[in-house]
Amino acid sequence: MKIIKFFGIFIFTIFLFGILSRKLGKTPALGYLLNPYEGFLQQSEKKRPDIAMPKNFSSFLKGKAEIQFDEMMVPHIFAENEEDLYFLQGYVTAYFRLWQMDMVTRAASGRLSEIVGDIALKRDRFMRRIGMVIGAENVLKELNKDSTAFKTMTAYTNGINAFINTLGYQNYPIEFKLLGYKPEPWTPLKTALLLKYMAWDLSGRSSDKELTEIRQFLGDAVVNELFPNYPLLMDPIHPQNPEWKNWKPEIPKNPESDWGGFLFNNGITQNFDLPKTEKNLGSNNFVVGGSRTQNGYPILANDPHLKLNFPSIWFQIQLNGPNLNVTGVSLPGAPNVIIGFNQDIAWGVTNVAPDIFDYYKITFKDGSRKEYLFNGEYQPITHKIDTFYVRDKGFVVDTLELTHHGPIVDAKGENFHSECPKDHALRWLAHDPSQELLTFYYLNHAKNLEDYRKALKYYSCPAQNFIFASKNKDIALTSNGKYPLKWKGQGKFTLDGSNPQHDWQGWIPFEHNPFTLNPVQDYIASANQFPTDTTYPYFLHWEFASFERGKRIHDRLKNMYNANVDSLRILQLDNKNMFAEFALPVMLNYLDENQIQHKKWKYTLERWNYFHEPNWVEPSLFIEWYNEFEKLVWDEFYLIKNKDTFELRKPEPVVTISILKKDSENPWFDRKDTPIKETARELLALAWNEAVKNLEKQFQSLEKSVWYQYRGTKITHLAMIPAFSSEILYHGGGTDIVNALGKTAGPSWRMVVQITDKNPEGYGIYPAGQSGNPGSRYYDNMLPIWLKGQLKPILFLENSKQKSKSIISKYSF
Amino acid sequence: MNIVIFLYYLGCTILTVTLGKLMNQLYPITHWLLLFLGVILGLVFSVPRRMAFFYGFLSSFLVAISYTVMIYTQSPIMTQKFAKLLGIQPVGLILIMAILQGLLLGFASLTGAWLRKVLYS
Repeated sequence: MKIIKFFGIFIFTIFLFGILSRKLGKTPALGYLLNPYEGFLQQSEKKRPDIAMPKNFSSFLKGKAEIQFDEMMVPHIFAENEEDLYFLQGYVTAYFRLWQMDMVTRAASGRLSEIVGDIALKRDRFMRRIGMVIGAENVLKELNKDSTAFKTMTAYTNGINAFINTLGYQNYPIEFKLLGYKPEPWTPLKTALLLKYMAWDLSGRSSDKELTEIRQFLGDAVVNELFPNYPLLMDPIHPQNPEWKNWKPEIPKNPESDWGGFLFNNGITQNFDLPKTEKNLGSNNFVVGGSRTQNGYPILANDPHLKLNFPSIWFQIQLNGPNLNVTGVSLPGAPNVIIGFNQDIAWGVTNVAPDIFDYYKITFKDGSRKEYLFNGEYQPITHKIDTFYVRDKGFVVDTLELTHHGPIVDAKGENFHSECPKDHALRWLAHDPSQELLTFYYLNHAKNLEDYRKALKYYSCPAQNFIFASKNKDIALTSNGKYPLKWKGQGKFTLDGSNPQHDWQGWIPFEHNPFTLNPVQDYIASANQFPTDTTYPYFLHWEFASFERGKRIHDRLKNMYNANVDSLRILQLDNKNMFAEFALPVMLNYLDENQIQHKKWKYTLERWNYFHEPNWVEPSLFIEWYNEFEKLVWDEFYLIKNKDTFELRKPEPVVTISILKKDSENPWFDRKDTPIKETARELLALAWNEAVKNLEKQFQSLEKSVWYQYRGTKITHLAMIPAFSSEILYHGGGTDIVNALGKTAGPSWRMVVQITDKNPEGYGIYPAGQSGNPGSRYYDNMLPIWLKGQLKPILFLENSKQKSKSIISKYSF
Repeated sequence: MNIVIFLYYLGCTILTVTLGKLMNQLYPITHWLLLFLGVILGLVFSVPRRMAFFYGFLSSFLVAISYTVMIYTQSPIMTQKFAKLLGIQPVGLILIMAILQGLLLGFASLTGAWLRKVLYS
């Protein structure tokens, strides 16, 4: 009996230990995770964290080096040679952000299902099928040809791996423990993948399918009327350059003047698996020249609007080595500083978003899909086998079909993404070999305008508006990247993959990229709008960001004199909605008081100054009202098929309001589901009542529908863990507003740099913190400062001996 | 309750946890070490089986709760966030962790005590 009892207890004990050591479904092994000595509790960070530097650290380095951390936990790295500098950058970045780096590069390479199982498989397949890995491999080959790039990448990689090698389970970032996997060695390919992920985020979008669908279902006239090739009210980035008219480039001719893409045989499809990125966000940068500033030197500002997450996309750092002293923000996973300043220059970036992402319809020879028609002959299709490891399921194999255009993304009508048509090959500039990393390397080292221009020659994709200011008092902006030579409108619709004239025919020379230097008005600004006016001879795209941010910034800068850092900081926080200023008076003009509820709110809107302050109701009411109006106006854009409603892409709001301004009885205002003929008057009243009803339903009363609650911006953890995410942010701004805070994206880094006759004085903040560890006080300590609209001085040390009260710890090797 | 035996249990638990943390670079091993420790302590000390469980539970519980409270006092952020993740209060999380450690050593000691009974009686 006692033996049976013993075995009973023995088996239960083993079972208890065993069950606690195993991952059960989505639940990680609780025995490890809840073990105080090695589980999540180990990520509790003291007030002043001890940065774990291995004892034999100096054996990795060729010379002496030092890392100093300031009160915001920003590392200031000093090294006697550049290899040590980038090694330490890799090490320190991994120390704070290893899981983020791992996750982002897994997402880029289609390997998330290795971690989270088949829930991510379709997304992974899409990322491989759009050629992310192909592009990264090409970039890596190109970078390896350059000894500087090779050394930088190798040193950075070695630094990350040196950190990974110090890790045991107890030191793993919490997300590795929660998701139940361990870090793998870093490779230069991962850095290339990170760059491709940025390219996807900033250039991986296309109107080809959407506009072809509109043409198919509503006709050419609708496309021409509602989707013009040059937008309304545009205030372009670059002042007109008289030289543009003198250039006589050989622009390819449109082979079919009425080209409008191929009609889709299956008609419209929806229910896509991958969400589109948030619309109408972008970035701002602006620089004012010495004639407009208090100290007579330029001031430069930049706030890139990207997805806001914990950990932040940015990691602040100073790199000080031979011939180099630079500070600013870096991308965790890539060496160098991406946006920042050194002793002589400051620079920043916004996205250009030219059309470098085109879909080509493929005509197969037969059902075997082994050959496709091109230039009157059949060409072979290369088949590439892609293997995915899916956690708890095993291996899954996918076949990628490759043409000379690029990969056929959706071969089976799988509806990956709303912009991705079936049986079309993707031509995307990000597939091509390039050396973007060298641009940032040389910008970090640049001393003047000439160096800046040289550095930009290495840059290809995604095209950026590189803004510049120097100690020599030069200000400049280059809308820089590699642009395909296209006929006007090429890529607005899907293209014919069998016709060689539809291929990209060459490149716009670097010297012809839009560039402005020391303009007469002594300021330059970009907000993702059209880079040029219509006298620029090349075609870059038919659509860019709408006019609002660009116009507001121009309006403010025009009248800005005696400027200081605060002048530009306040401009970054500008909450005025220029679209509301354009649209609201017209909308109110046609709003019939006798047909609406809550008339007093009409009077309130009439007195509104168009600012999106966080605790105001007017912005919520205006946006909701406009959205309801838009739905009613563009009812023709909702198609019904098999009882399901499908939505075509709607025209831009500025187009809608322009029509209203011109003619309130335009046929577009007539609803097709009613026998009577409506005008804008009826629609605006209906939309008003619907908007009021929506707000009352969501917030109980209109008074409670304040803007910040309505917008509902939260900064979420990358793994969508609510406990590691923020509450709803109390902050103004909104989409298409200079302070461009949307629901999920916004000013990811605000920086203002005052050039002086000595070192520049920089100020910056991002809405998170340096540490990726949710158990650290440096995880989100910058967020409250960012929410208040304040900036922190960027500590810029001349050398390791310089003393500063901000330095809280030092490590010498 | 025999204080001397309990102090042995407590001391050995502290040593084992320290050893586990040192060896952690290889693998999360602490709770497997606790299993071996519990079996050995149960085998070595001649005490009633329920007392073996009690000594094991209490020593491991006390060590775990002291350590957890110490960490929480120094830096409560992680515990608070993890408790939020589980939808409980931090104090509840600390108790769960400590009880879990207590149960591990308690059952391991009970197994050791039963093994002693099988081998020596």
